[in-house]
Amino acid sequence: MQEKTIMHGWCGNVLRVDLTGGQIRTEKLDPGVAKTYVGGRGLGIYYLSKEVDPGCDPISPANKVIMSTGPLTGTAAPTGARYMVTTKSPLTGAISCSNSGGNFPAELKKSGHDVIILEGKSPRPVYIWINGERAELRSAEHLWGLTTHETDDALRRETEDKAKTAVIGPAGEKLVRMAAIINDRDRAAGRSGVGAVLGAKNVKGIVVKGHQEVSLFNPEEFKTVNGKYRNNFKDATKDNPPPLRLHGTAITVVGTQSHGVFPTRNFQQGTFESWESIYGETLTKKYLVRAKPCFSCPIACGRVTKIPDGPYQGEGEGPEYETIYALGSDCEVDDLAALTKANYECNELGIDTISMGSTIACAMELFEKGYLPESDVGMALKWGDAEALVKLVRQTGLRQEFGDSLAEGSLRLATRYGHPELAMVAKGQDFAGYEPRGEQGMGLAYATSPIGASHMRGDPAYFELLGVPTTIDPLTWEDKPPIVAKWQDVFAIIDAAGLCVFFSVRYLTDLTLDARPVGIMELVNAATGANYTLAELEKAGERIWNAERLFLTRAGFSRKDDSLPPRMTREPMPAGPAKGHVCHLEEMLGPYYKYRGWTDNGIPTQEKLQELGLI
Amino acid sequence: MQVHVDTYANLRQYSPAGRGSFDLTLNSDATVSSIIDALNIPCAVKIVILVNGRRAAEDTRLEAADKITLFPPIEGG
Repeated sequence: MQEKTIMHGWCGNVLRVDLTGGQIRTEKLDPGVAKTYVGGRGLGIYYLSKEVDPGCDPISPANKVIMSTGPLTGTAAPTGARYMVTTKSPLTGAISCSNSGGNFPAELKKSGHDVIILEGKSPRPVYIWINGERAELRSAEHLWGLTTHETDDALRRETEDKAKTAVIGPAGEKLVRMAAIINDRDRAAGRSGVGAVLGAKNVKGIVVKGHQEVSLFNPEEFKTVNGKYRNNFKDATKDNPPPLRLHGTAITVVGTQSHGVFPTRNFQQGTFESWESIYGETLTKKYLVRAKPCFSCPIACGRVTKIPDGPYQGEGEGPEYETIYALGSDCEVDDLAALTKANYECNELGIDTISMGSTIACAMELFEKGYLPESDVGMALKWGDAEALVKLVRQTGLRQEFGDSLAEGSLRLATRYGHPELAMVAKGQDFAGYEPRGEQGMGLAYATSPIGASHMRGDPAYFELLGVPTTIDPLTWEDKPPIVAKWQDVFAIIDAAGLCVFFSVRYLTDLTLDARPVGIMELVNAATGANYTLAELEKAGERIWNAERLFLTRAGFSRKDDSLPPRMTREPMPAGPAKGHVCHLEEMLGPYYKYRGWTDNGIPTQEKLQELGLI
Repeated sequence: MQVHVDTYANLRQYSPAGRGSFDLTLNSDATVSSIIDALNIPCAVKIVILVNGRRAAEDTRLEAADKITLFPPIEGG
């Protein structure tokens, strides 16, 4: 009989769902593993490395989906709302670990589970109903083909109205390579095609109802620490109302446009003439209904919006900054109603807005240059065509007509038409809304990210553009490798703890370029009693980053894959504040690998792996 | 000399008539802080300052026709 170990912060339970055999069982979370990998993203790579062959076909039953919360998820810690979905990506063949907030992750934690592991493949469509510690597989045959909103409605009708859902839409079912998992109707574990892996396993979604609060090691201490950081936030925002609360992440357009790094025309330009028609203050004025926070969040960057009339009439959430870049400036669409409608469609069909917009932008450039014939698209595909944008999103989610080609993602699309260099990707994943030629640190972060291009793996935009904690010149490259590496590790800690970067970077670090996670350590220690030192927690971040790199190495990735399209490294920026610059990626990679303790080929050395306990 | 100033988000309230985007006439030895003073932006308000798209400090000297952008630090995007 297994001895019962009482854990705090962590629930101590892993729900393992054998989809092939239709069995569900609860396993204990090893306290040593929990401390070593912290949670969330850390537990994701722990189980992925242990249980999934790095060479497997991502949409085969051999792949697994790991949904993991952190020790602060579901607690009163500011932004303790996040979970991570880790799997092998059908878009990139690399790791996919995609993060989301909302309320589903906290509800999962309150059901008494830290982690769900989905393995094998169900013979028929199913969903998983987790009601506290009880879990069962139920038929989802009647849900197949429904949108994410329709599925959310149906699942809560069939279980409990107050239950929370994470589901796929038609895009996930049809194995669209950029399919997302949508929780709480409009929050997305968006990137790298995690929704397609669920679809390949015949899983429509998870619905969960929790019945218990997360146990805390020292509730009094937790309350004191939590109060301190919440008060810091209140004090700091007294004279400086949070821009993200006022205008959502869409306000970030100001930072990128003014620095000349707002991607436009598939990254042919870094400024967009009509940017003011699609940025945050315009969104607030025209379509904002209310700001919407995730669980336990004092910022409330979420946007509930409504297009009251016209051809794009609708209601939903968004758009966020990344969506505005991808479906807006990158396609030269300046119609905010249209791109907001395209965002609604992505949420309902279950598609990552970033890769969707970037893939359409790629198709527009292929068309512009004469490589993509009109007969294949079924229409002329002109820059700025808002109507085409909305139409193509729908076609992609349903894999209809030209959408079937778009559903393969930008790299496969551009390769099919003979010009892979026109896909703005790293490791096959589309760039976020920041131009590497005008933001050297971001270029390095895109290239070295284990999931392919992402702004959520160290996000140098904070210190290169947005003034947090301070700003350093975005055009210098010599100083960036160690800073980017440190921030990558800190982001791994934030993701492992179950927090959101928006609060954590500004309020839970020491607010220096070292970004030491002092506040996170205090909160995690009060919640878990794990008694991390700052150095131990920082080491855990580095361990997670290296464990992810090790998985990639075993899947065949190396320096050759830490790359950017030639447009970024060879074609100087044509205009704007970054005019004349290219991204100095090759010059940065060597010092970056050296700082990391990796070989010149980007492989973690035995010494580094031993130091981190990874071998 | 004349410069052009753009203010965004909560900083818009300090611009003339809340217009956000405006021209400003300054002495020839003006710096960025001359603008902050002219707009009466309190010291406690944090500002990201760009001059012609490049990061600048409050003591950065200005030249005629410079384009100054002022926005608050943003917690992410």
